[in-house]
Amino acid sequence: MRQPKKQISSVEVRSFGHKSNLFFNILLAIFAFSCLLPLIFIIIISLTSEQSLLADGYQFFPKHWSLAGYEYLATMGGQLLNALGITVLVTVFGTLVNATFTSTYAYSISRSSFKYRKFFTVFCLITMLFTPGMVANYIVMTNLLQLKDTIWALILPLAVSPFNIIVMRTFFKRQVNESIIEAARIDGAGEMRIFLKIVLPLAVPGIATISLFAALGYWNDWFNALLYIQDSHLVPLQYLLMKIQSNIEMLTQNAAQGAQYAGGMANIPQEATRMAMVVISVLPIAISYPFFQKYFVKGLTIGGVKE
Amino acid sequence: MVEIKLDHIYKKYAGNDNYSVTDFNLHIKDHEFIVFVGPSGCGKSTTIRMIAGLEDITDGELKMDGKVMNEIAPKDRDIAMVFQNYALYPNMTVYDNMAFSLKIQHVNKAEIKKRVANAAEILGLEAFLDRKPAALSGGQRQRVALGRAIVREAKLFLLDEPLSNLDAKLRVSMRAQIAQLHQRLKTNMIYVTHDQVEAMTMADRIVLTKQGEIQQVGTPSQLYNQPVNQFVAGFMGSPSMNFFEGELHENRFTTLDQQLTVTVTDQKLQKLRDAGYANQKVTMGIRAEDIHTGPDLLEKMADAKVQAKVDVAELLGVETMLYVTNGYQEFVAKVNAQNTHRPDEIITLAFDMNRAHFFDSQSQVTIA
Amino acid sequence: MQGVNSTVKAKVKYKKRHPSFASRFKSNLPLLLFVIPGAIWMIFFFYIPIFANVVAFQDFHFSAGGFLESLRTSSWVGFKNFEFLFSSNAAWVITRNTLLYNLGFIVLNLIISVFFAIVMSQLRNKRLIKVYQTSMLLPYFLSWVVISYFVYAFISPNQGLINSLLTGSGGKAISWYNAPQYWPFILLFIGTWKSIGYNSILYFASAMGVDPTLYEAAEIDGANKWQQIKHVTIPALVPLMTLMTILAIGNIFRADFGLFYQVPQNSGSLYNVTSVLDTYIFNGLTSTGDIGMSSAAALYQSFVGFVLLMISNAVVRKIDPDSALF
Repeated sequence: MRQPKKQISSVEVRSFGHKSNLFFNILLAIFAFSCLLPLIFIIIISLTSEQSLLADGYQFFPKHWSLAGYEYLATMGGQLLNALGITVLVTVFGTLVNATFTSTYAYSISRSSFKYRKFFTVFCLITMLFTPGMVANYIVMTNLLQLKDTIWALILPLAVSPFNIIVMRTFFKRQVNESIIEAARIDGAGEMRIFLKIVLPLAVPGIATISLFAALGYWNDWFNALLYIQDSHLVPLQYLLMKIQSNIEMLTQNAAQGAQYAGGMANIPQEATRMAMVVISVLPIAISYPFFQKYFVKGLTIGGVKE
Repeated sequence: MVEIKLDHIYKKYAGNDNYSVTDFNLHIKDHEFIVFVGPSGCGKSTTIRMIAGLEDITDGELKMDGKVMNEIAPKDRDIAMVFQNYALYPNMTVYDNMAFSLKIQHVNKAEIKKRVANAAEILGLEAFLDRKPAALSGGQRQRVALGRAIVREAKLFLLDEPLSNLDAKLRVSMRAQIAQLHQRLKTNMIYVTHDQVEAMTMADRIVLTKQGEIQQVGTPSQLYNQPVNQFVAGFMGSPSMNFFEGELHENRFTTLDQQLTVTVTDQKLQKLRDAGYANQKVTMGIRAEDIHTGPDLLEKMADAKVQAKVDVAELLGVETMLYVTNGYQEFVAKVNAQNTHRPDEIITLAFDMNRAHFFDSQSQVTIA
Repeated sequence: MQGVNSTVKAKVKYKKRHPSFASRFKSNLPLLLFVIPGAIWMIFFFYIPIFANVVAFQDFHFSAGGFLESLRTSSWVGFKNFEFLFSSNAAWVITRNTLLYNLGFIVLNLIISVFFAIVMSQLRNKRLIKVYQTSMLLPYFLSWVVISYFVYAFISPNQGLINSLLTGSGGKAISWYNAPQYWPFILLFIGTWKSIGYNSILYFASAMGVDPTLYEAAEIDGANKWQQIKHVTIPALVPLMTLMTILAIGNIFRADFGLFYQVPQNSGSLYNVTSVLDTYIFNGLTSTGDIGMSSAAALYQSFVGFVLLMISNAVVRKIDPDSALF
């Protein structure tokens, strides 16, 4: 309504007629709702009382509501907190490492004055053409690097993303004009200062994007834990969820190890607790991603793979 | 403030068979305004970038005050540079852009403030010091780029096509500002442009290059009035000099299609004969402003009269540009606007043969 | 006056002043340091593992003495592992499943996300579009573990919503995790559902980049909505569609492990329809412990994937060089 005239005309040209507009709105709304529905369902289950769950199964409109699942989680402490701690540590540290390594590599190969630029560009591109495969990676990780059952096994496999390097290289090339770097060189700035003072501030949107992707990758990672982690102290949240899914008794085993639950061992609300854990693991993402959405969307548009 | 010597400089890029700059020799004296001019790809930007230290010198020596600079880092060459696209740091304010180099050199705060204020005053940027480059107009950005160079108080200013991104009107006023700046700062300036008007109006000396080789070095009037070859003659001046292929018979020059014939002045004729061009092929060049249609001049230059058909007449105010055809030969005349001519009219023009140039048809070197 | 004669090009040799190697190396050093961490990572997580694929030709056993010791002590068996792999029924099943599922994903993703993108670009209410996009992105950001809980909530044999609806209306409960006939549809639906949001936003961004004056010109030329979409919007999306499809074809031998392992809960009775290269390799590596066979399968996967990527890129380059990946 308050848009300038020019925009209104372009919107008009791009728009459906009123009838088809309504039809397609309904269509999209149904699909969009289908994307939210399962999470809503899980939240409802986590708030359902155990008796209702056992009697009626999972229902959108349960007979009895209950916070027992969350109450039990709060007393559970130990394993859950530990898993959460591992996930947070791996996500924070891993994201930092990933963003640093990826952007420094990308920056170097974006600079036309870098003498070994061609070599390192090809060095990185080759890794995208061929994949070594799960077995070879497993052997190198466990047998050569001996990283099984260490926190590094959760961090290192995702520490660099060759694809993001190529994307960021294009981004640097577009965003940071070579002559700005030359001007800084004449002004007397060294490479480190050029990178930190001139290039980084210009690259914030790109670095934010790759960092968010990296953070998401670490937060959601369970595959590396599945392969490399047996030590229960190093189990991240997603892997814990996975283990509990196939073996719900893990919850009670954990309770037996220490925590006191008011309702007594037999009344542990297993189903609700499990779903409450899912909700806890999803919440940080579900709350934050709408704010970062524009960066995610930029992800593939900030730089085509090709120059 | 500094004496610069380029001694047989060569530049070859990796993967390129040809030299981008070949045997570049130049001696720049104190407080000189040098303009490198030439068509694109002539090596002028490469040369200035070698002087800045942004490109390696493949062969030869660059000396400043007698000291070889080839391997000195750009920051230690005591130079300032203005880039074609301004190369302002987008994340810094105008003040920080200008102060950046001084901060790196650990100049004390008060001094930085003083120098930036001074530069801002010279350039009329006082009101914009807190703005980011994105909030400035093209002309303002250009001035910030100049300001960044000024605060350096460098011995040598390098300007790489600094005005080519500005509109025509702004370019004229910035031209004057840069010339004033040179007067005021008394530094050496090397200015790269492809625009011969900028070169003519600003330079103490012009260096005209083509395909990496120097064609001629000299004052604007030397290049304009005494070009050493056909390329220089054609490049300097607008519109370009008219060239006629022809032969010399007796004292007359006749075009190959026999349609145009004019009498060569005694002095030029003597030079041509001495050089062995009697009855030989030569190229004659004459500038548009040396072709006239006024009745008095037609009479005066009776032995260099030419008939031609008017194709287009462009009225420029005081003058009219006539695009005419004689036989197969097209040429341009810049004549007094009082003599009106219409398209398709057959008119008589007179060549001022005192101001004609003659070039070897093969090597294009100036003969007379 | 110099350089008068431009025909003289002979280069006069003067004092050579090439920048020394040392000074050149020094000036490149900071940028070199910047690439080192990434390069080391690539060595350990790409170049060495590539070499480690030789275990596919070995009867490999882990040795406590480290990787080289393991390589040295394991005996070479030539193509035996491959022979075993391809003579088993598994090779056929996993190849078929991997290819067909991925083909399904490529087609469904392309059609649905382009359709959604075009629809979104034509909707009138811009704020609603934002709401739709945000909702559609949610599954993309969640892990397969979480998605598998979502699926479980609906099809859990005892508490699942669908089964209680079935029994409630007098039908019989279905033991979903033991009923292979449903899984191709479940997997295709879940896999597409998770990624459609991201892909359609990608195409949407591309569709919004089309110069609006093109639509104005089409309008003036008398094109109706459908003709405008067909002649303006879709051609503008083709390069991105091509790029995404090459990338997908290059990965067609690579199944989404989480989808095929976690969503069916690695249920043995579903293997015939859920087993793909990645899950087969994983199971071989971790439970059956047959490293030789699973490394042979992994090398088979990598090699065929590489060949497919090369072929699809070559084909695209032939048709439209600008859309090719390299």
